[in-house]
Amino acid sequence: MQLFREKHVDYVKNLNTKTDQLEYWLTEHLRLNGVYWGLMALFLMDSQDAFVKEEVIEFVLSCRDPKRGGFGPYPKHEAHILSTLSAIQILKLYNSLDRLGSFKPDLVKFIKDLQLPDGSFQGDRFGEVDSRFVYTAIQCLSILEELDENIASGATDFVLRCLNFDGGFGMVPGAESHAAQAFVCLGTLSILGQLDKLTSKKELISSWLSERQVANGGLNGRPEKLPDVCYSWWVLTGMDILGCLDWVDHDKLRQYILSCQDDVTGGISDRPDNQVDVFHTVFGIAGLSLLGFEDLVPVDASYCLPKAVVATIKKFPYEI
Amino acid sequence: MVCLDGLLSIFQFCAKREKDALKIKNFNNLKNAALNRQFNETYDQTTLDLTTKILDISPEFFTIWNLRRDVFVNFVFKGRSDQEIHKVITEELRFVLATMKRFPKCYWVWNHRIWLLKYNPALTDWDFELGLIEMFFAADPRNFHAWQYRRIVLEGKMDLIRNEEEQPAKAIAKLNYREFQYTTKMINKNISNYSAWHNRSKLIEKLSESHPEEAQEFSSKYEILVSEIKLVQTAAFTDPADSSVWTYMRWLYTGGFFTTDIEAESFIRLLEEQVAGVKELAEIEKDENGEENLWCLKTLSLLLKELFLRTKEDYLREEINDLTKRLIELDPMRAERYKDFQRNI
Ligand SMILES: [Zn+2]
Repeated sequence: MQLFREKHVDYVKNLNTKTDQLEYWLTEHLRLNGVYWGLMALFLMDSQDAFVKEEVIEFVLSCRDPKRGGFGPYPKHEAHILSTLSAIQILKLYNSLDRLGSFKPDLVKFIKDLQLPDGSFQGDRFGEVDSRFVYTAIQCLSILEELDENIASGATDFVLRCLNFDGGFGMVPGAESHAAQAFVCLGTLSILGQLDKLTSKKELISSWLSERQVANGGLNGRPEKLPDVCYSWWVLTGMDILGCLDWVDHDKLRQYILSCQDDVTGGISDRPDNQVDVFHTVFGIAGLSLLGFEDLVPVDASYCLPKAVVATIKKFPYEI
Repeated sequence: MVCLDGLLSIFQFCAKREKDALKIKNFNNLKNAALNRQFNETYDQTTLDLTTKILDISPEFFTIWNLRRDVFVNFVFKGRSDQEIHKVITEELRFVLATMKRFPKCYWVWNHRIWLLKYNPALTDWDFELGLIEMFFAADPRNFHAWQYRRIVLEGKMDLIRNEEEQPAKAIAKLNYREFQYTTKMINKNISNYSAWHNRSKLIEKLSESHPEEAQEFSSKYEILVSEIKLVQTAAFTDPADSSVWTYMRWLYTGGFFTTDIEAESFIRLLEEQVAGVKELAEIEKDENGEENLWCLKTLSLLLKELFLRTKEDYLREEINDLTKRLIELDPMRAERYKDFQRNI
């Protein structure tokens, strides 16, 4: 089977035309994230022109929450760290961070103020803590080139405390392992240049990740669970970061991802014959890119941005 | 026939669209009214009612949960006594429970509940929450959210103990031990409850630092290890196909937690016994199923490696090499991992 490239480009392009369906309106809380997923899928297929750059940037800027300085997922929604990362990623993809202009100081303050004394980050002012938010905040600050030693050491300590007996990572210290958390924790350490803190646990973590591949080639998120295309990203990235990408079978995984495509509408779903969505579309394509298949634009495992874009970000620790 | 089917589905599609159009209009009216009120910081009963209606349709709408909390803090709770506020919170917890039952996997709903419990922790009925978790476990004993929620509830209980008890360390150790026994109960009910094994590993780390007097098995790391080996050994023979047992066994022997503070000779003896145990099980499995149990082989190679690192006996290296060959043959998807494993010994 092949990647239905043109179909996927069309699928992403048409996402914003489904305004007569209730589901469209019920997913406003994910809209900006959705724009990033769509745009990133297009970038990986070298088809970013399918979106109108200026329209997208205008939409991003309209999602700014003026009271808090961060970005919400949709105009008038409250700022959250997850939608804030999507906004920054989109601007970075378009090489348009300068469009933040005078908003930048408040934006940086919004992100930094979310860090708690134990090094973790809350998602917004109501205090929910999750290693996902640590990763999200660290990537935001990395792209904005606003990291510092204090923020980095707190985040590193917190993420290391999320490591479990089985070699997986949890949402918070004490929580059960989940593949999405492996991605965010390893991604955080990678962005901060702290992977050497894991040396003694590398084999254990890599083993846990490689156990995620099931007989049909797909990857699951936890033991004894069904495979799902999005884990092609959460699991593979961790393996790439740890340098053991070859510990799973690439051809079988490629077959699995391709079998989740919809050959009529375009788009990729979590499992074969399920309803496609933009989330599984981008992570399926990103997984294929990481494995070097289908002649896609190379993706960076730690940032989920094209390698060429990441190459322009100043590496931490910064030289003085 | 094909055409008729096609026509029918088009009619249904149009009907859905019309219905959707109405629903969309209704939802967007509610949403716009609420967001304007949030922007203007209008915190009153009308705003509260709007959030109730919206969250009933769309519990993922986190901005509206935030608005709801703003209304509570700035309007509903204003000028009320602690007891009165507690009454409101109890009422709200009921609303949340109803939403949780409909959307058990929605993060924001669980968050809202936690926010309510922590608003005035001294008045919170933490044991009621533990009872609630039992209800979720009855439906699915591996409910990820429920296990995480259980840890948060216990943390809440412990914070209270820290503030109120004269000897908090003792009371907390007791609570941890009770949780440890709870994992034993859950594991005995169903050996493949991975969440319970996970929680057990966390509790052991805590209890080895501080445990109540009656917890004899925690008197030393050696004692803990021996009693855990007994449990995991029985579990492995009960359900050798389940990965949680093998993951736990790996942790016991290779995790690093037990190797410190245990005499080298004692540890080697335990390793040798375990190698014999797993070999025996591997034979039984092969006889019964006509094929190798991969978990047995994988675990065996890890145990042999630990043994080899301590004794440097050549025959162990040969055994590991043989095992690696078989693993590569039986589990080709992870061939490179086994090769790396062999190379790095
Ligand atoms: Zn998925």
